[in-house]
Amino acid sequence: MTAYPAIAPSSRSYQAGDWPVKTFNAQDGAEVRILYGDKRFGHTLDLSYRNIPDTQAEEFMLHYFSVQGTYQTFALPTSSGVAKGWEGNLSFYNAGYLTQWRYAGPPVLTSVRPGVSTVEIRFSAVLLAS
Amino acid sequence: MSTFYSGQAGQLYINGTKAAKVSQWSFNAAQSTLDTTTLEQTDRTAIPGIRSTSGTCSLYYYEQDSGANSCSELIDYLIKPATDHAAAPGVAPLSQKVTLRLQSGASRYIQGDVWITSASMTMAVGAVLGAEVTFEFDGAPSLDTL
Repeated sequence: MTAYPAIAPSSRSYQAGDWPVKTFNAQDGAEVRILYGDKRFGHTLDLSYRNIPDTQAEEFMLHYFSVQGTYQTFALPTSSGVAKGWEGNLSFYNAGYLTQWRYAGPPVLTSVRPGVSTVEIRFSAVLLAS
Repeated sequence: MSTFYSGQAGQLYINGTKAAKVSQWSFNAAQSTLDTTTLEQTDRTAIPGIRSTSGTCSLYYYEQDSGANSCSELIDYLIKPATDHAAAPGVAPLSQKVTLRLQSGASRYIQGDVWITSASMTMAVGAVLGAEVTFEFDGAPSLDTL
């Protein structure tokens, strides 16, 4: 697998996901929630790399190809640069116990001017079969 | 020899021919930037984006003995009558590019192909008829010795 590019993102957006909870409402309005698992899932990580050289933009495509698009799951090591600028615990950007990232969709590459592009990426966390 | 440049030395050339009775020209060159600031940085960084050059000129509507009229010639690059107004009033030839040279001295000028983007004329009592013309360069200037 090609290493994920060690480039600091221009912007990063993290959505925390949730536990597998099902909610039932009685006719009088009372709510009952059933927890079906003990692991959080479904978190997403949106990354934007704005106005980077085309050669760097190409690195993101190579990583996407190496994990067969949305098929394979992987961890994002702290060396990947994904967490740059985050001053909290770096493990925060690991997907979590028995959880890994995969591409939620193909990276979007937008050419800005000759030699310069913008790349938008969305990762989705998936629970591994235990 | 040290020298200043003033309006007395200013000239405007339209397709290589010196325009008559030009009262002013100006141009503006601008450089956009592309933001490259990343999450670990505290100060904005940028790389050069797209440049653009545009300008304005004012000419008196002056007809020479030969019949030449620089003002009329210039606005005709923008104003195009319909080819067949009765049948298709909304169809006219496209505007054409024109080569302008904005000259501040004998060997000081900026030249390029431009699109005329607007032309305005006002006829008024007590005033000489003239035109205010704005233009935008198509690409980079072809010559620049300013």
